Amino acid sequence: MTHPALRLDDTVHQRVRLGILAVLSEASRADFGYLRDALELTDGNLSRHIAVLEDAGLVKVEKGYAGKRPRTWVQATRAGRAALKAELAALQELMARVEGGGGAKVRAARWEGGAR
Amino acid sequence: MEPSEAERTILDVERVRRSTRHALNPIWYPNIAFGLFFAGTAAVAFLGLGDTPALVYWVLGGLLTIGLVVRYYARVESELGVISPTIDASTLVLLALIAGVVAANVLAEGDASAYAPTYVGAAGTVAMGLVLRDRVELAAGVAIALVATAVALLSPEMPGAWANLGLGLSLLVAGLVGRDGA
Repeated sequence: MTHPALRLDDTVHQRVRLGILAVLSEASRADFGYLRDALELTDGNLSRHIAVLEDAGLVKVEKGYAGKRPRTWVQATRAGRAALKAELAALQELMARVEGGGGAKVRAARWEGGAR
Repeated sequence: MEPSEAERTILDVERVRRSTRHALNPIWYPNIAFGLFFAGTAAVAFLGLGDTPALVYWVLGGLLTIGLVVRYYARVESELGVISPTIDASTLVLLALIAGVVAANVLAEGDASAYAPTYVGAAGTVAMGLVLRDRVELAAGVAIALVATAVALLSPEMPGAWANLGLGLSLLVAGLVGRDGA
């Protein structure tokens, strides 16, 4: 069994890209503007990270309109969802290797009003 | 990578997921809408307007409430620029809740027909609280279960109206608390 740290995927593990996949794991698709605001990024920074994820086949990008408003929709692919899940599992395993590795904080964070 | 860094990363991911989930599920709105609707059914029953006006209220009020909630959720998605999954866990809970309430209404007899649907409503609200990881919703579910139990134990006159009043007020309070916290 490999050490969980070795199972971390560099493409997914980067902070912003993890954030993008985290948002997309809760939605069928999200607009570029929502991702930018939710993750507090600049347009250029977000574009660069989306391009990396798109090249890796983890997200799909589509341009379209909602009424008259142009939208750039970003959607996690099946591989993208699986990659996020695997990443979180590896991180959990890393934590579990240390006694009392903060599981309670993580459980609390999953709830509204939990650890910030 | 240090375990503390792993923990921080997981906490960040959970924070982002929770914030998206809550943005997409402004549960306070359906709580207020359905709370008013159920409190209204109780008012119609207490006023003794008769079966036909009550049926009209249930059908038209129910459709109007569902319509308002659907429209609000669509507006939220449009304004945010995020589309919910077509069938997510909260939608499944809602469908199960509606089916359960209808089944309880059909199957329960006597006084049980007053509180059985309320217990189903309580179970559905608790399930919604678990799915959305929302403590206010969980508390509302427990309050609704207490209302159903009180009606079952006390057997008041017009038990259905009392059960619906308790259900409506529980949802209304949960909605107002949730809106303030949103």
